[in-house]
Amino acid sequence: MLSFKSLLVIAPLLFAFSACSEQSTVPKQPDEAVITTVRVMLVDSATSDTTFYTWEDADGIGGNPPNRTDTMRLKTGSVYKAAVQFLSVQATGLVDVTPTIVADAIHHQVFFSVAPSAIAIVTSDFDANGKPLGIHSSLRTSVAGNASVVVALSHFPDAALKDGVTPSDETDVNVTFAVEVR
Amino acid sequence: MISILLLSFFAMGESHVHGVVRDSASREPLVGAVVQVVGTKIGSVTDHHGAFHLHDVTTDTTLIDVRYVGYAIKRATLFAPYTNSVEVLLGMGESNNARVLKGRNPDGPDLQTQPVIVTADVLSSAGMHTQSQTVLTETELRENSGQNFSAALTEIPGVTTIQTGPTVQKPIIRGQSGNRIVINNNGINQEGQQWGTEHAPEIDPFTPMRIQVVKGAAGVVYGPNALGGIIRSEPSPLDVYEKLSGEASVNLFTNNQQGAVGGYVQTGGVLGKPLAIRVYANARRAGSSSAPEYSLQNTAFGSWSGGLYTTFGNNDLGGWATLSEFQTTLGIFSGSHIGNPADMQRAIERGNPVTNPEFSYDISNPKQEVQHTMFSGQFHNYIKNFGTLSVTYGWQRNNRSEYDAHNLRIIGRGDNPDERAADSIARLNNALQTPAMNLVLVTYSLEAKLEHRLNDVTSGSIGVNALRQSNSRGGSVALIPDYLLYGVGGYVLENSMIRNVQLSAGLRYDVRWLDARLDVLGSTQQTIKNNLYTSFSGALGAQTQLTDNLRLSANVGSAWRPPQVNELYSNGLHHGVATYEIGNAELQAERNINADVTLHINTSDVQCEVSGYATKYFGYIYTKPLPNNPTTTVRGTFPTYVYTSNNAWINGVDFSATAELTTVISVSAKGSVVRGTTTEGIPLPLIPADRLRLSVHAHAHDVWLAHDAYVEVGVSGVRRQDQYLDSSDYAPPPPGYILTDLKFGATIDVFDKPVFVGLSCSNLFNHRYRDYLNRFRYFADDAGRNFTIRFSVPFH
Repeated sequence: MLSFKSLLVIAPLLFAFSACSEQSTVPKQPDEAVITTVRVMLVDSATSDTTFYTWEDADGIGGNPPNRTDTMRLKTGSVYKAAVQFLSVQATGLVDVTPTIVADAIHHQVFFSVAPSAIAIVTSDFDANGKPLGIHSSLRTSVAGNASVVVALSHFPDAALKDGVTPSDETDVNVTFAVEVR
Repeated sequence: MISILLLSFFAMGESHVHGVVRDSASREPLVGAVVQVVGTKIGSVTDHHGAFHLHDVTTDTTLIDVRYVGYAIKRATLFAPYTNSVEVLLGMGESNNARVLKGRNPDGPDLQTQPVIVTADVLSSAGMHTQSQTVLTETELRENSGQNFSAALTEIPGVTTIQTGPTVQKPIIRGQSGNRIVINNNGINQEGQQWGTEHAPEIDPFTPMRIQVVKGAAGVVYGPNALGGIIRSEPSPLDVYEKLSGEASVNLFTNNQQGAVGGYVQTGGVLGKPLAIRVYANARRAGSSSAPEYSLQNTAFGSWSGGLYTTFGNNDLGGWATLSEFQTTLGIFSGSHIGNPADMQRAIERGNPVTNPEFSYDISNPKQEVQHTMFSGQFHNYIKNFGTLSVTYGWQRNNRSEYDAHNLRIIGRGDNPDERAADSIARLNNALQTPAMNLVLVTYSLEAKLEHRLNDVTSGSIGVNALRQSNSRGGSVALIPDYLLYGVGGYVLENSMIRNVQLSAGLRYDVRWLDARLDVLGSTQQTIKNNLYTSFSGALGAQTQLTDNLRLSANVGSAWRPPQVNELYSNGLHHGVATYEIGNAELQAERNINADVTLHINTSDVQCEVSGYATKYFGYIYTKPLPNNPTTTVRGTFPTYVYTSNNAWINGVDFSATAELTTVISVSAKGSVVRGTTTEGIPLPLIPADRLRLSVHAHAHDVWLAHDAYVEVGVSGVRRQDQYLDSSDYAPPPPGYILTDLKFGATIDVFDKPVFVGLSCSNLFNHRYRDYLNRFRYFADDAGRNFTIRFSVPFH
């Protein structure tokens, strides 16, 4: 029969579980790079003048609002070569992650949408499956006016679903530049 | 007190004893009472109507024991031929506790040779006697258990679920879930990141257990957070002298080609001592679910659980202990993985998921891996003229890992851009094998309780408890901070009969300390934020028998809960619903004042329960959209929701009614209506839509080879949720829907073993529908037709 004494012997066993870990052992990913910065380089095909326009939210998602949102200033009736760069603000400075996207081109595409549509943008680079990538493109202006350009980076988990026209449901980047055409 | 009435109902086979167990005062049928032929393994558990059936009774006189938690055990002698229905009345008057039985049952012969039965009343009644309570027995769980723990509870009117796709389901009691209800498992409150709508309870539905659900605040006994109700699951009773027995069961589901197996073995009198042990294990594996028109990608899941339960000692000195482990891996429907609001709009406009993949058992990212380990144990000691003192200890560890599909980029290393890019992709794929978020929640709890009898009509309990909880997070995603939580509380609960009115009153006081470690923006430092919350909970209830057939009960009370860490400090993108959620560190504790009235009607043909409730919340915490203040991020602009508090009303009605048309056929109706608004009349989010279920049930005791054969056809209708705030969501609530289900089952003797065979079908007509409380309603339809086949074989 159990005695109260034997209970006293059993009781300390209950605390044996204290030895189990209370700390999560999963580390934070080292060298993690959240895209914070989108930079568009425009080269005027007539003059070869090069201009950079930047959208940046240096503290990442949440926290402070974006710290830099440039307005693109373009000339009427001109053609520009455009190149998009995706960067990450790190303690050591800006790190370019665009090569990662280019290396994994079949799972990515950069989409541009312009409103109103007085500016035409045509993608000039393609992935291994012949589908557009959009890191490089050409941009043609017509009449003067104000517009906005959305630069969006779609991630396609299944490369077969990338049709070159439809964005995926997994948007990695979606930033808006104001545009003045004069 | 023993009253056995022999009522002439209808003639039955001679070897078949049947009857009904009722409360002697209220004549209410007692659900889940154990009826057993003394000295044999022939036994039965009473069903929803209090009815039991004992088969293969061959002796001319039969001694039965009837046990029910909170009542004195009853022993009765029956004489052949057993053609009449037996009515067993259990009384609460002579004892409030089955433990006090020893040597007090002069009517029972052979007391010397029969072991003293310690009914495994792990705990006495959940909540107050006057509250609306429902018990689901092991048998009912076996007949109804679905793919997870929560699904089995929806049998109860007023209990619904909130879902995150087909794999994750959480219970809602009268419009409240998550932080506002408590799941008490194996005698301790289960702690497992309850705040997340996508975090399901870590309990396997195959565990040999029974479940009690209390609708309404039960804060006095279960502490803060039990302000909406409690779900208590406890191991099925295990006698310390139990004979060697067990059960094996198999469930097969057609929709996701799921197989589930489970079983247990138990034995008592180990080493000749009053010691019983049960060992159980369950495992299941499911493939991807299908909606009527397409398959849902990455909705496979698997889980296993196992455990040990032991009871020992006797009524004076004894106890029980459990050790259990639950592990699951759940795929999260890929179509819900979206980047920003534009993606969400596109998915909603498209209507269907992008892909209609082949059926698969594969689980890929996004997915969850959850592990819950718990130990709990109780010692009780009966002290003469004082009462029963019990001490309960609990330890549990919840380890939750969430894997994202594609959430980060990694800076590659190398000498040139190509090398760096290749390294980056390789390391990213590697990183997806580790969780984006890992939370380790460890909770210790200790409770001491004294159950006492003051006099013949007054009994109660006094308890004190303490808890310590630590949360530690890992991975790159920080939804909630690390924290340490301490709590202490004490309560008194008394029940008394005054004339024919049963009264309950309880009062509790709690203190909670929360120390949260918050990240400092742009730094690796952390600051510690201390919060202290203290308050009272109280409850008063009364119950009276108005006439032979009519019982009325009413409760008023007040309960509270401190704000939880997610409500105080969360700050981040809510993937899957494309919102940005911001916690509010200024939030104060939330309190409610609640009142309910329940009318029970019980005649020989009709059982009916109608319950109405009104709850006023002071400082009800919820997320409120800030339409003028969206959050602009590199992924796009997200609607911002902040945690806010406001006074609110949550009111409603739930009812159930069953009428026996003939001895074979009965019809049932049950339904619930909940309304939740702020005091300004603005509808609260995520309140269940109105629902009604009608069913016809036919039951035959002996049909050819089958015992207890039944057929049931049910039609469930859910209205569209028309109580919502316009433009507070990406899509308005989906239309209402009607689903038909069918079930039949029977017990068949195979080699003298009563094998239970059941077949059921949900969504019989493969109807396309979406439920307002499925968080993935934006992206895909709910699951289509599913057949479930169940077998269970007991052995002794």
